[in-house]
Amino acid sequence: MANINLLPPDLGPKASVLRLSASLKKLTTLALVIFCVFGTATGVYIFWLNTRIKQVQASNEVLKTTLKSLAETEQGLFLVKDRLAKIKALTGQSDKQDPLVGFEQILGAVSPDVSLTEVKAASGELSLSGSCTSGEALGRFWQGILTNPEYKTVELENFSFNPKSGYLFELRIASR
Amino acid sequence: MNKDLLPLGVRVLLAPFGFLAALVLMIIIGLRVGLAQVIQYRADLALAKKNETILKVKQDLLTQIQPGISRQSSLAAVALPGENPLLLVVSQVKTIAAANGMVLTGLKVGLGQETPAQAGGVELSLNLSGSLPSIVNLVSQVKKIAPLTRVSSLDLSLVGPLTQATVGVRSYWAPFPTKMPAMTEPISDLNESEQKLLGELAVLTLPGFVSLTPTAPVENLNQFGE
Repeated sequence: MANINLLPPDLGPKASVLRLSASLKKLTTLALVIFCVFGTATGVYIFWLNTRIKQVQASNEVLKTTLKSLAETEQGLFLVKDRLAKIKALTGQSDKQDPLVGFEQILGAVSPDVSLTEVKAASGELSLSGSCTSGEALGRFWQGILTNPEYKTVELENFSFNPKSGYLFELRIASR
Repeated sequence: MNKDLLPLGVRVLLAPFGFLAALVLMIIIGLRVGLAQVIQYRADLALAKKNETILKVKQDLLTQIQPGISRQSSLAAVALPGENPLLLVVSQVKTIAAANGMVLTGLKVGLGQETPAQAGGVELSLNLSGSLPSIVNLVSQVKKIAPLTRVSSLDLSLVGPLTQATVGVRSYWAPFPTKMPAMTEPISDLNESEQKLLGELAVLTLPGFVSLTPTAPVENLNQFGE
């Protein structure tokens, strides 16, 4: 039997509106399916992440327990590092101000003709007083001091001659 | 609202549009919540994995250094004690002076100058009498004692048969650390310069400690006897 539309054509919705409505329904269904698939996938991914976090945290707890038994070793290492850092800072500063740089070399260069009477050393400065009976020996002694690379400046503070005790001198030496 | 007020075309499209709008709203909310959760969980996992790596490295390192660390820490603690080392330094210097045949005629103690690295210093002035070589020997040996000591000043009077010396020495101390870093803080082994410094400390002359072995309590059987 043939379908006969008895309604007047201008009373029903337009064909384009019906097509748009059908398209919207299809789009909604498709979007709903995609949303459900992605939603489920995200849920599964979050569950997997949560499980993994719990596994790693459990492993960390085991490691922490082991480390507690090694606490003394950790304290020892921490103490060593702390002491060494402080020693480095302290010795770095005090070694720069070592008042006795090259002092042993000076003493080694003292010949029987040269006699030191007074030595004063403090924070990078060395002061020497002495006498010498021979000019040649005095020259050699001074030469040794002047050519020492450890010294920045060598000042002759005082110099005199006395027939009884020979040459009297006073040197002030600043180390680098 | 009366439906008949709306045209037929709009009425037909109202339901599909309504569903689509509701779905879009759900997608937006779902995306925001889901993404935020995923980002949070991923960050938590990354942190847990990072901590795991740090803890594993720490465990390996501590197990590896365990046999020798006790000696190293004792050495470092003696070289730079946690408290004023004055008595130890006096004892050490007196031992050196005696070994070099010198006579200690005076001793003066003062607080040291300000020092870096949250450390304290103590100054010691020693009046000594002896031969010049023995004084030179003492000066060079003072640098090699523990606790860490340096010669800060030297006055020599070489007139007369014996050299009179006033030797100023400075020793250091620093309070021990009181707080340990968190367990998940990374640690590293001693580097090359630290190993070298530790080697230098190992050759220092340590103070002679007398250690008394504790004994178990003994019952006095005759409490009123002599």
